[in-house]
Formats: sequence, structure tokens, C-alpha cells
Amino acid sequence: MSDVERPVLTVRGVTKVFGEGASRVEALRGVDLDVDPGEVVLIMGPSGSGKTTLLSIIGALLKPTAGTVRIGEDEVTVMSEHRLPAVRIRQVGFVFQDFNLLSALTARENVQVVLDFAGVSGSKARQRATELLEGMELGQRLDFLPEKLSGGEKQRVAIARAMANDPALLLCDEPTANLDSRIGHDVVVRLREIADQRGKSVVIVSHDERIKPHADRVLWLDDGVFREMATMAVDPVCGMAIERETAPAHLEVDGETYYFCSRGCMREFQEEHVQKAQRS
Amino acid sequence: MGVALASRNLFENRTRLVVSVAGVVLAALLILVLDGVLAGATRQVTTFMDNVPFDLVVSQRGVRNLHMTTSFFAESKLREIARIDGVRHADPVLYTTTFLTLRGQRSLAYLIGYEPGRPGGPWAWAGRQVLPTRDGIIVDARIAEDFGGRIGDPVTAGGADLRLEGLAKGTTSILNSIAFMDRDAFESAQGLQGVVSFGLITLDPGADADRVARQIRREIPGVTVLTREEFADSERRVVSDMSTELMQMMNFIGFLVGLAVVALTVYTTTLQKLSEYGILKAIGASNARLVRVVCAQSAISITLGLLGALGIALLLQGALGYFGGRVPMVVTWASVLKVTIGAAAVGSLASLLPIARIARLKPAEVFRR
Repeated sequence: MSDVERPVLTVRGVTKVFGEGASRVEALRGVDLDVDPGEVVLIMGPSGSGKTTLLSIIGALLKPTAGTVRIGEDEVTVMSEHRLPAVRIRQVGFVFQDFNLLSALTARENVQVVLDFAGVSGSKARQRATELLEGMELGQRLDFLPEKLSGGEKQRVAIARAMANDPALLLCDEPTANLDSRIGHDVVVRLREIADQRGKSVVIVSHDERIKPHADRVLWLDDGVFREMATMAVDPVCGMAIERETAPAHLEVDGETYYFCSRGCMREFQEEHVQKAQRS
Repeated sequence: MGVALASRNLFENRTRLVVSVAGVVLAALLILVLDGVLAGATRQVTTFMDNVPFDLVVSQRGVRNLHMTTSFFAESKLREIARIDGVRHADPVLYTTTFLTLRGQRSLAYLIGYEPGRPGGPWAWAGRQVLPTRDGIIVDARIAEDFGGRIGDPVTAGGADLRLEGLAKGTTSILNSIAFMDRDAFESAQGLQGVVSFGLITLDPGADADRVARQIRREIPGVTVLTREEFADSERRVVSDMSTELMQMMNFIGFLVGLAVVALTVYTTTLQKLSEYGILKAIGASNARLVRVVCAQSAISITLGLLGALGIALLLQGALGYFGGRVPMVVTWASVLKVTIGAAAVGSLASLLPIARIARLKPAEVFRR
């Protein structure tokens, strides 16, 4: 296998167990995942399905109970704690739902601080931070504190910060959750561009259906395991994720099949549908 | 960037910063002022040794200072000393500690009996320079002013009824003041004859003080010979010995106050920013880098506090000098160094708790909302 084809991220058999005895929770159960350079992978799933736990383990923030995670050449799961910061600063960029900018630093300083951690300081760091922010169309906001920036601007600063040390892998936790649809779309487009133009791998954890068209792959994480997206459906009434094969109820309306978590949800859907038909 | 982040974190909340810096200022000022007053007082108590012209002082064997001592030896010994090669003058001085009473008020004083016109008398004057007559006394101008005394007022000192004849300057100290009178009058009042308390030895130009001192010790039994510096050192030691425990206690209190204030500020700043430290950890900051940020926060608080305290202490020193406070304050380099070292210790200790908290912080907590 050549370097170009080698996955940026390789996850094998990752299991994570929290607690013991009666409070034991298996958050992840033998998860496998490969992410290639330039690929955008969207991981969806209901709340509590293990998405954030998986993202934390991929980002070397959390040790798995079993399994391995390899980022580039480094198997991060066997690394000692004191070596992990170097992996996080150079090989991974994080984009968070709440932006997580440092409130006392300006937009430029928020990017500079990450460069400083990687040993780039002074005018070189300032210049690189300026370029990154200008690339995010924030040239007029360089010296603004986060409190003076809009949500979209904050998230663009966060993306610039994530890209500061040119990591191979971007990990995004609900990057559009706190943004309106237009700004959220802009953020996703930018992430797509980063993958296409710079060859970065992007893993996005989100509930946002609007991201789907921009992803190369959409994975469904449920109950700690990846399931085939094709076999999953969302109950149109309560929004719960359910497997089509084992769904307690389903209904065909106007040539489309709807799956429900219970007969109650199905009845509610039917009543609404009848009322809608009567109105029209 | 670590220092920049630390200073931004601190300056983000001005009120907290002001409280922190004010705490350090108070703690450091407490120590600087106490040290300064002690240094000033120490300088005052050696004013006689520092200003009266002599090279060596001879006293009764074993007597090495003025405070709380009595010294008498035969005047004949002083005459023998005057004959030693290299000795130009050997001037007798009588000395006792007494209360002087002026306008019904009493004040502790070193009473010096000297030969008018010879070494042993006042060196600075408030008003007209005079030589004491048989029934006259020269007291410090500040004492006279405090008691409302004027030239010609009756003064009782050392068992004699005298008249205020002149006003000396720079002879008060934290302990007492110095009053001067005619040696013969002193002898009469105290019932003394043929004895002196101290001999003030002036050497010929170029004479070797050590050689003369050794010769006096060898040839004149029952006396102690000291250089001017040794005599002053002994006096200084008396004051420092008396105040050491007090100073240690006050320094410790200042240290604790500073420690408590800085520790609280750095800890609350750290706690308030804990989630941001978690973010920094998540995006790759090592513990060592975060420790540097916390230490920089401490260092900035301490430095600002220290500079503030030093500034105020120097202003106080100037103000006391200008307005003529009874006890001068002298900010010494030794005191500044001590406070700086103490402040560095405070800063280091104050950082320990936040550092421990940050070390325990798990970077994955950044995802907890």
C-alpha cells in the first residue's frame, strides 16, 4: 500500500466501558473505522450512542478499554500520557460545538496560542494566524475578542485554530449545532473545502441531517456499534433511530415507507396524515 | 504566549486583579515599613558614634555599647592612653541613662557630660550653637518642641537642676534622645571624681588604629578598646536583638496575608478558567505549559504588588523625611531582597493548588456540556 492510499485514521475493535458492576456501561463495542485522506465522514446516531466517546478516543483524549487507534504512523492507544499532547497538537485539529475559544484572547491570539504550543512563535506565528483567519474571511476581525464575534465567526476562528498546525485529521463535534442553517451550511462547506483542497480527513459527529450531502460517507452509531445506514430509519413522530427490520410498526403512504418505534407513534402519524389530507 | 495568556486572564477581571495586587501590596508594605522603621531606628541609635569625631573608644572592660550600660574607669588611664604613640587626643566623656524633665514632662535620655569645645558634644544645631555652662543643658530640639520648652526653661536631668541652653538636631531615636552638659557639672551632680565613662581617642594622621588599639589593650588593664565601627555595630545589635522576634512575627504575618490573598486569587482565576484549561489540554497543551501559565499569573500578581508596595514605601520614606517624623524610615536593599524572595515563595506556594487541579483535569471533559 502506498503512502497516498494509507488511511489517515485507523480504528480497530475499539471498546469503551465506563463504571463497574451495576453501573457498568458499554459505550463502544468493537468499533472499526478507516478514514482516508481527503475524506469527510459523518457519524450520526441518537444521543448516548457513543459518538462523543468515539471522537474523544480518536482524538487521543480518552483511552479505550480495548482496541487500537492509529493516526498516521502513530498508534495513539499505546502511547504514554506525556506523548499524547504532541499528537493532539500536530496531527489532530478539533472543532467543537461551543466553539471553545479562549475568552481573554483575540481571534488571532486564539490561533497563535496553538502554534505556540507547536513551537512556532513570534512574528511567524502571527503571520500564519493572520493568513489562516484571512482564509476564513476574518481579516477584519483579527483583533476582536470572541465576545465581539458572531457564532459563525467564532466557528470559523475555531476551524482556523484547528488548521493552525496543518494536521492530517480534523475532528468536529456538532460543528453546526449552535448556528443557524445558513451559517451552519457555510461552516460545513468550508470543512468540505478543507478536505477537497488540502487533502485533510474530516470526521464529523452530528445530528444535523443537512451535513449528509457534504459527506463522503455517513455512518450510524447506535448502542456503541456502527450499523448500516441503509438499514436505519428515523421515526417521523418521535425522531428515534430504529432498525428497519426490527421496527415494531411501519406504514406505506404515497409510495414511501415510514418506520415507527411503536404503534402509538404510527397511529399519531396516521391521524396527522388524515387531517392533512382533509385540509387539502 | 503563556505569559500573554496569563496576563489576559488576570486583566480580564480588573476587580479581582486589584484585590489580588492590593493584598500583595499590603503584605509587602507591612514588611517593608517594619524593616524600614527598624533600619531607620538602627541608624538613629548609632547617631552618637556616627557623628562625634573619634577613631577609637575606650570603655570599662566589657562595655561595648551605650544602651543600658554603665561604664566607669579611672581618668588616669585615659591620661596614660594619651601618651601612647599615635594618639593625638584622648577626650573624656561621662555618660548615664536618665530621665530629663522639661515643663513637667519626662523623657528618657542618654546624658553625656563632655568638655565644652572638645569631642563628645552636639554636631548639629537647631538655632544658635552654644557651649554648655556649669548649669546649662543642651537637649534635642524635637523633645523641646514636643514638651513646649524654650531656651532658658528649667530642666532636671541626672540629679541636677539645669537650664535649657541650646537645641541639638538629630539626636532623638526610637529609644530616647541625647542630652549634653558640661563634664564638671555632670561630675558634681553625680558625685563622681577622677573617673570617666568613655575615652574618645583621636589618632595622629596616618596612625594605625589597630596597632594603637592593640597597644592600649596590652598596656592599660581594665578597659575595652573598640573602633568607631565596632562600637556602632554593638549598639545596632542591641536594637536588632530586641526587635528580632517582633520582626519575625510581623514578617510571618505579612507572608501569610500575602500567601492567602495571592493563593485565593490565582486559585479562583484558575477555577474560573478551568474549562479553558481543559480546552487547551484537549488541543495539545502539555501540563508543563499550563503550569507556566498559572505560575505567570502568580508572578504578575506578585510583581505588580511588589512594585506597588515598594513605590508606597519609598513615598512614605520621603514623606517621613520631609515632615520630620520622629522615627525615620529607611528602605534598604536587604529588605527589598528579603520581600522579593518572600514574595517569590508566596507566588510558588499559591500556584501549587491550581497546578494540582489542572494536572487532574481530564482533556476529554471538554466535550461535557
